[in-house]
Amino acid sequence: MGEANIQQTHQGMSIAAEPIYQIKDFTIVNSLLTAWLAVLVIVVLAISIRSKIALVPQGFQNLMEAVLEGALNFADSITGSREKTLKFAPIVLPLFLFILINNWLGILPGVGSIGFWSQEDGVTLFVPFFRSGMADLNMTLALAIMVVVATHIVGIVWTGAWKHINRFIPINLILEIPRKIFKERDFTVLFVNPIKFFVGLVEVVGELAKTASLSLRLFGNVLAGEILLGVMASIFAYFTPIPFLFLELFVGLIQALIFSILTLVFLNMMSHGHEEAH
Amino acid sequence: MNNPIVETFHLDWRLMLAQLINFGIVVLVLWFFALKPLSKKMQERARMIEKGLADAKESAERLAEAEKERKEIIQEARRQAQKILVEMDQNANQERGQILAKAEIEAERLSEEGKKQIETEKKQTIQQIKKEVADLVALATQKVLSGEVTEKIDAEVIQKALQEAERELKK
Repeated sequence: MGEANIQQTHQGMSIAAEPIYQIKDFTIVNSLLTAWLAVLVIVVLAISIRSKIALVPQGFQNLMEAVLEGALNFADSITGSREKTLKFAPIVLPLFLFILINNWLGILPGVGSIGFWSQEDGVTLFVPFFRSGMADLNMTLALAIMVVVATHIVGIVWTGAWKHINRFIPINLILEIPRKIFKERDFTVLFVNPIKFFVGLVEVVGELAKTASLSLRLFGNVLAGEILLGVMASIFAYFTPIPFLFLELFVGLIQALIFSILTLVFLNMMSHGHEEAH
Repeated sequence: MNNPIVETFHLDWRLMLAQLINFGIVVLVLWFFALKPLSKKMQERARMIEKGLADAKESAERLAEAEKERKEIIQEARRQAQKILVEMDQNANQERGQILAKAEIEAERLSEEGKKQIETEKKQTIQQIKKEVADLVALATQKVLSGEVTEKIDAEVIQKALQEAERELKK
């Protein structure tokens, strides 16, 4: 086996999720399987919470309430009001849990190590059945696009469509030029407003950058973690990966937290007017 | 699919959609099965605790009010009792005074009446004695004149008449 072969068959983790099964045009990849598993875990968790909810909390409910209360208090410090927090919570809390469960499932023994060998272009590839859901750009990009779209919906609903559009394409600045010149005799608008207009256009680029940074940060961190664990296991399979497993548990939590906090920050920013936000 | 980024990362809109559907399921399940009922129950509990605290505060206030009222009633009752006692004392004193005054007047009246009666009786007795003495004198005179009376008899008769007169006076 050549050097390239070794890279791809042993430690070599593909940058893209590997296909497991094909249903007509649709390819089921291993990250999708993990995502389904994560959904299953969350459904079981949610149903078990539902079945244990009582007016006088005990055990598990106490823990869940403490977590929920802590999360809401933390979100309050970002949004500034409980009312807003409760409006954003249905998106942000599930996002956090979904990313967290996906990240942690990726560290479980068997995920990434149980699979099958497949031949592709004459190269033998190891294809694991499961791969962390967030180690697939399809997943992180989908979530990032969803978040950015959600922020724009919030912006339109909370501040109004005209105000929201002017945040990115400041048509109002162009429209106010004649009024400023002829009524207020303010000729500085001839220089200032076009600059402001182009600054506004930069925000559009910022939105694209937001999508890219959200998705690539999460994808890169999780993928790097998986590769790190693979490399450590290949160096010495016993004991060496243990500290890195803990590190990955931490990284999984931090990345879930970063993604959801950024989502909350973006949602909160869009819910203010442009002037208020600055 | 000529875009190198799309090829490198195997970007596929159907996979993205599938992942979004997964996330949608997570949102729905978590919201309707866990977060909503949990936060509802927490709010319900918070409301109950708030109500309980408010009730307890109200009860304490009512208790304090009742205690105050009780003290006021007791104080009023004591004040009334004291007033009644003072009034009764005053009445009793007044009545005693009246009774005493009445008794004194009555005693005075009885004493006056007694004196008057004694005086009357005394006058009547003297009158009667005078009459009897006159009768005796007349009788004695008659006996003396008729010679029936000796010196000895005369003395006895006189003695007898004096004794009778003395007895009458003692009455």
